[in-house]
Amino acid sequence: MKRMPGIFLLVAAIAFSGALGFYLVKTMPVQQDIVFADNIENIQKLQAMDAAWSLAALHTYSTPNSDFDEVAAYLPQVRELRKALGISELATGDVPETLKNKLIRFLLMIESKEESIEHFKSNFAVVRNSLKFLPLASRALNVKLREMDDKKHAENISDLYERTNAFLQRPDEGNQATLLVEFNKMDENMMAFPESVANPLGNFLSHARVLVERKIQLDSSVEKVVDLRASKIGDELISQYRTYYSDALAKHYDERFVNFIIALVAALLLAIIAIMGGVMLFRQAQEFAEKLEQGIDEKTEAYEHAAAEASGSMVDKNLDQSMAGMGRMVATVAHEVNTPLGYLGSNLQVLHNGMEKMQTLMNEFSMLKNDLGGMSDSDQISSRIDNFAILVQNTQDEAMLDELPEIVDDMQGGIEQIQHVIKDLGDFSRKDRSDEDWFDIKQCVESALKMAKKEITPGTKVQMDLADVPETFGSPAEINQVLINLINNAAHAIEATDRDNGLIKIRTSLEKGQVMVSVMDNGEGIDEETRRKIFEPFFTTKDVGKGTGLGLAIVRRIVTKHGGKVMLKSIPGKGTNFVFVLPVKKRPQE
Amino acid sequence: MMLTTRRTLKSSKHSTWQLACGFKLCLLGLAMMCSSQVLAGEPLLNEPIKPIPLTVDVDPKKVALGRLLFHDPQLSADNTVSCATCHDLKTGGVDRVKFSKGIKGRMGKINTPTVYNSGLLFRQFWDGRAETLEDQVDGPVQNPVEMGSQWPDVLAKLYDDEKYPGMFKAIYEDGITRDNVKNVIAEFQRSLITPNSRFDQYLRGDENAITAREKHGYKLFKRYGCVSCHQGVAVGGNMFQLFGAVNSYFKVRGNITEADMGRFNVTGNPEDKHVFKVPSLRMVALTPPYLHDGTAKTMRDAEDVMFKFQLGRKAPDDDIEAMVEFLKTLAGEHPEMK
Repeated sequence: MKRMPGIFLLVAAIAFSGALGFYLVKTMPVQQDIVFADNIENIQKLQAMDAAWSLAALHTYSTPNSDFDEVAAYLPQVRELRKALGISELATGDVPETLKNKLIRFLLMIESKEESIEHFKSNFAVVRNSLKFLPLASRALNVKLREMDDKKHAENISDLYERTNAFLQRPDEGNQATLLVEFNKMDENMMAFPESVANPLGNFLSHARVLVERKIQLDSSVEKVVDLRASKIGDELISQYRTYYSDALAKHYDERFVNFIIALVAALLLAIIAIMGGVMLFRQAQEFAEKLEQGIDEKTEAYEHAAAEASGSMVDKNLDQSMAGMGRMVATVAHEVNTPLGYLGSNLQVLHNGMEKMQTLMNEFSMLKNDLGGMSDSDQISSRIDNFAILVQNTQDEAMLDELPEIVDDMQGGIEQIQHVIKDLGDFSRKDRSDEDWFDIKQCVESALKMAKKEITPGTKVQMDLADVPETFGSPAEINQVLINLINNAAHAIEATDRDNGLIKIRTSLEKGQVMVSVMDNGEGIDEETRRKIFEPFFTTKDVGKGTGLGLAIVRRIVTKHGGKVMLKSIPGKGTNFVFVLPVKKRPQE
Repeated sequence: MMLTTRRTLKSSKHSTWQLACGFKLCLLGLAMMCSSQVLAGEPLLNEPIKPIPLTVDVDPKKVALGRLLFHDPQLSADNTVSCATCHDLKTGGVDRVKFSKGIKGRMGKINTPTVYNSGLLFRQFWDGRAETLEDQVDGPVQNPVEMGSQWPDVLAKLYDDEKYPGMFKAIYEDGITRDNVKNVIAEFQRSLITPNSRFDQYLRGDENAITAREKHGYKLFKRYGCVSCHQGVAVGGNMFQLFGAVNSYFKVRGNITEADMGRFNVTGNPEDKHVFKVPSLRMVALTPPYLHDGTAKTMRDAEDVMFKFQLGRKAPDDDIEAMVEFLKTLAGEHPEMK
């Protein structure tokens, strides 16, 4: 009988503790963390995909023999991410309207990107075909007109053809309208020509019209494809969402903490009352309270850990930041690719012209060979040969044979330029070169130097002072890339000064327990303004066509990823010293 | 990021993409070692057409169930029409008529495309209105001139059937649902790829897999610009294009129907008028008549239309015929075709 109130109190304490435990579990914010992190991750994935999608489309644009399968392959992934975000708590849950609207805008932008890409693909296919065919159509038409001795129309067509080409180089809406009117006029006069002319004329006009109509559409769809406003909105969305979430969480946590304290006090009171129920019961109650407390510590810690994770470190922060620079990047890329494409096109035209002239010459030659066989009069023979010699001379002039090698070189250069841009982009976006291993930084320096050799002006001295440092853990390929980029930059800085006593010093050492690598040059140096922006992606001081502005962004991304830091010192006019440090890790005993 | 996709493609099990990519790496190495020397038996990787993967990663249980449903007329309102009625797997995945007939003899409004290789297409239907094969299933099942069904009726019929409830339960916890029916049918469709065509063997490095004439046809196919749209693994099916890109097709043909408006019906964007998904040419030799309106009776007819309206140029008869020869090498193999 004596024990009864004790047991009763104990049962009450247990029940209350149970309720407390239930409350704790129920209010665990961990579930929320996962939802939050998932949403952030999905937004970031979609941003990255949006950018990569644009690049894939551009890549097809500049690569012969390519197909759109890869561009189309983004569709299902983009679709899934869009769907996931569309039904997430960010879209449907209890979040502020502004946040919801931002998300909707973001998703709409992605959707319109999809549409732009489709329009780009269709326009591109048609323009590509007509660009190829128009010169042929124009030539066929000209041959027919000349056969008929219709010089007036032949000149007319040549002029129209040239103006069409000029329009394609520099499309503007005024010229577009004029040309279309002229095409229509020609179309109406078609009946006046005999069929042998009307057919090629019809072909010529159709393609000229397609090009003049579609070129502007194509250009505008390309612009939309490379438009990365979605990424910017995504950035804003993420930052607003983060702020909202951490505020909400703090509030939630505060409330939970107060409730928890109250509950704890109540539980202690109950426990004290339970003491009166008897020593044994008291001991049991005490054990219980201890367990409870231990559980609380663990959970608090787990919560803090999860919150830290959610607020940032799980995604590549540099990529994240680079999204803001994406707009600039896309302008650069479009420009970098379009410029060489432009002169590749016009040089091709010259080559084409030259080849045609050569063709005529060769035909003439085989005719000459035939005729000579049947001739016996030496005067006649020598006059034919003289005529042929004149033709050879003319061809040489008209076909600009002397200039052809230079033109081909130019084209080669253009192609290399494009390849360079694409390669840099590849390096920047590549995240799979992370075959990690233990490696010796000295070997890295040596192989990087080999690879960067051709960028270094002859006469520039390279000094190496490579101290023995502990092996480093990471991706040797990536660190190699870092070194190549730094050496290239040093070489270019020296080249810019025109000095003949160029010097690049590469040093490795162990400083404060870190592996330090320094690449120093006596080149032009970097002013303060430039220093501030130098690690931003797509920032470049080099002339158009000389740099993509990704080199140092790649350097920073890689070094940061390895847990290191990049620093630079520079005196304008005197030189620059880039230093990066990598942490030393202990190689596990095997 | 561009590489991310490639990686996903590569990582799909047993995929020939993997093979192709593997080869690509080897070849890069080779190319570096012996610069421009051409080796016999090298796969042709830098072509705008790619071989169909030899196998596809599908769930055999779903495929088996999807196959049953594909052939089951219970999907239609009056139990007379199954998917296979119009998509006869023995005749190239189509019924080879201009427009197919649905329930009660009702006439369709657009030519039936083949189901073979539909898993390789970037969207479904001529106007691309379905983004996935699953979504596509809704179309014919509910279309009043095709199967004319309502989902609840279809599901009720399947519940009462003696074989279906068990088969669904063995795959899905929630048994027969609309989504699950769509999923198994789609999975069956995904299994309908036709790899190992003679042309694919050629792409994979067997130079003698196609004749000199067929190679010539392929060269012309590229030179005339057909490949600007009919490209990739399905030789089409990865983009939209205006029908009448160079000369107006509909002005000449006249009598414009709703189906002729193409993608405009989906987006409402005037730029999308008469825009259609570029059809895959993989099964072209087996699937006459051609074009969305089924007006081209032979491959030759279709090529004539393409040359006139899409390419805006003329080709000699011999070239057209050589291209027909090439197109005949594109269809591959599938057990259902026999």
